[in-house]
Amino acid sequence: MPFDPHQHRVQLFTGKGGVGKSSVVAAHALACAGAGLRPLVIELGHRATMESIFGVRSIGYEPTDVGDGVRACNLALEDALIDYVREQVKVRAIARRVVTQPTLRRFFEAAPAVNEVVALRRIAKLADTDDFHPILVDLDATGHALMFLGLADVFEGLVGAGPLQAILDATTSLLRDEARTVLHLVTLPAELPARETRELYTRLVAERRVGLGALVINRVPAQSFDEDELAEVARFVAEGSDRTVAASLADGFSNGLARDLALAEREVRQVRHAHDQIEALRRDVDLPTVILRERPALRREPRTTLTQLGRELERQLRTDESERAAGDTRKRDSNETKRAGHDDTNDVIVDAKEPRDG
Amino acid sequence: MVDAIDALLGRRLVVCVGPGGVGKTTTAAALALRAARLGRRALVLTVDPAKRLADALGLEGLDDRVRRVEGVGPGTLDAAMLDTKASFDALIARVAEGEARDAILDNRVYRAFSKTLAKSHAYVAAERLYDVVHAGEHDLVVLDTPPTRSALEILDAPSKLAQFLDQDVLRFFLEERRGIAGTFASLAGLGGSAALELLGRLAGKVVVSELVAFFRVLAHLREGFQHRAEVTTAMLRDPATAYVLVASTAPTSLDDARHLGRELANKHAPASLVLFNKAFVAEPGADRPLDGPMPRDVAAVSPSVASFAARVSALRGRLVEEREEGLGLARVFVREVAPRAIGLALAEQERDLCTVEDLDRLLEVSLPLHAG
Repeated sequence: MPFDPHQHRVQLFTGKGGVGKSSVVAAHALACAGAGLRPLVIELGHRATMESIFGVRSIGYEPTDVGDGVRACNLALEDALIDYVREQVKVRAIARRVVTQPTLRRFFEAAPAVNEVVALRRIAKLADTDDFHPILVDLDATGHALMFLGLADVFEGLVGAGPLQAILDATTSLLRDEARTVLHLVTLPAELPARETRELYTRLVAERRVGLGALVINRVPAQSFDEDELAEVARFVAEGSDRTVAASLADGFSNGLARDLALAEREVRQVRHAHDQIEALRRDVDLPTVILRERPALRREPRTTLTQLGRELERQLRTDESERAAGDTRKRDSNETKRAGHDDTNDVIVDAKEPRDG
Repeated sequence: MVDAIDALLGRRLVVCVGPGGVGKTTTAAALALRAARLGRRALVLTVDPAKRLADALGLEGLDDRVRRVEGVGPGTLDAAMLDTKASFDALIARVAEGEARDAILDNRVYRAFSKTLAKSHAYVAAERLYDVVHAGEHDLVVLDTPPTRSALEILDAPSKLAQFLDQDVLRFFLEERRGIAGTFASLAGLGGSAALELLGRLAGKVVVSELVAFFRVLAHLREGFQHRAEVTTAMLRDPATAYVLVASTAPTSLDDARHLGRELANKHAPASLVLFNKAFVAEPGADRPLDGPMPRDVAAVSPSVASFAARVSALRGRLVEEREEGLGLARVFVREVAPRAIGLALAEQERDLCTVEDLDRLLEVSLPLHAG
């Protein structure tokens, strides 16, 4: 069954730091806007990642146009808190006073989960309007995402029947509503992030706090050599002196070729390692899987590259497994029903080799 | 250039900060190992090490005991993991006794507090630091920091904890009610009772009563907390403490690192060393072209070898381009963000580092980042 990347109103993204979560969020937003939707990207706290990704000066509490039909906002503590307090006390000046009052401010900064509660409340509010769809939330690293999802537990038995309980109830029901909310996992084909993702998945499935969307494996290296080829080159180098072309295989070229070989072997090992990680992820994480290739151009042409990435993301999510399965023998061997980016377009990595461990 | 690192390892405390995913934990371990190789008694306090790194360091369990890494000399290398929940309860156990301790551990505000990982990592790290430095069993402590939005929470954590128990805040909550609650006019002055009233409105009455109970117990411990906070804060600001900013040249990671570097400088704890991990490929042949042109008859004898050579040449071109671009960004970064720091780019390691010998290699191949 294909996954509809436009269906859910609230789409949360999590993953270990450095996996390119923000880029995936931005790419998805650009693709949604390209499809005529009104996506909103939400960042938590003053990190300014989206400002740099979209190349805009400042993203504040209120949604701002960041170009190409995408809007973005940043839910920093103070603004979100003022917003909440204001709703409760009705007078903005007093709300501001409460939040900026030095003693209380110190208390709010140090008190547990205040950030998360007011941010989640704001997300729920934005989700209730029809101004934005979908709302893409760039969550912090894994631990933070779990805390977000478990906020109600943090305050268990503590908040009684007050407005805080009302917020927790509203946000909990939004998070649990599988038709409206989904959590995507972003990872890399490297040991540490992949392990964290597998552990997170197991935990999320057990806790059932939120519906799960896609597994996005980012920055997968392309394979440009295969092992048979390297063996052949190695033979060629070894036999060099016996050849009739010995004269032309002057030492310079021969040494160069040996170095070439070392470099190519290194790349093959890296690609193989990445594919081992992908295998492990696919084995343990039963979600529609998107495989995004490493894109060196991201640094130079962020917007164009992100737009391409976003299209690729949607294409892979929408493609039906059965249409792809034909070209993918290993998928047929297993009884899994996961979808993945095993395509033969040059945008996607093809596992050319069978796994070595047999 | 490793001399620059070695000089740094003569300090008492080295704090590694950096965005997530840049290899901060591994770098912290490699720095502590290097200090041990130089004959020092080193300790690395790590946060959530990768399984194989944990194995290499002999950190098997999930507890936070200090363990000796075997076979490292001439100095010693110890490692310990920061386990938030255990350490937090341990902290309470240290500062409180008997009924007071039980009252805190059972308090629902405390339980909520210790459950909110994002912040308590930093508190625990700061507390743990106090203990290990004061135990005096190590010449050097290398502190890995948690991957929070602001990795600098570690700098603020001790004072934040004290701040939570700040006299003003306490007075606020524990002050006798004077019966003026309810009128928002009084919010201009915002006395304790009005604040309680307001908090009751904002969060619920139970929160308020639990908070008051929490503060009432903690009020007695305030001085102990504050003393520790002051000592830890002073230690973190001490000139003998060095900050190492670990970074990568990936775009968003670089932005985060810039933010951290500036924050460090603003907090008067500027980075002494900026390490760019995985900055270039040091494999032989990664940047050197073929020594001679490809002989014409190679293509005739073996087209596949010729095709191979052409593709390696393209790969090499790409690696050189990426390296130059990355190093360029790294140089600008050091110049702009940490002009007084030593900047080093470290070679990309082929795999995740999983043995002590691998860790030795991490700092071995580096390039200085000070060319113009």
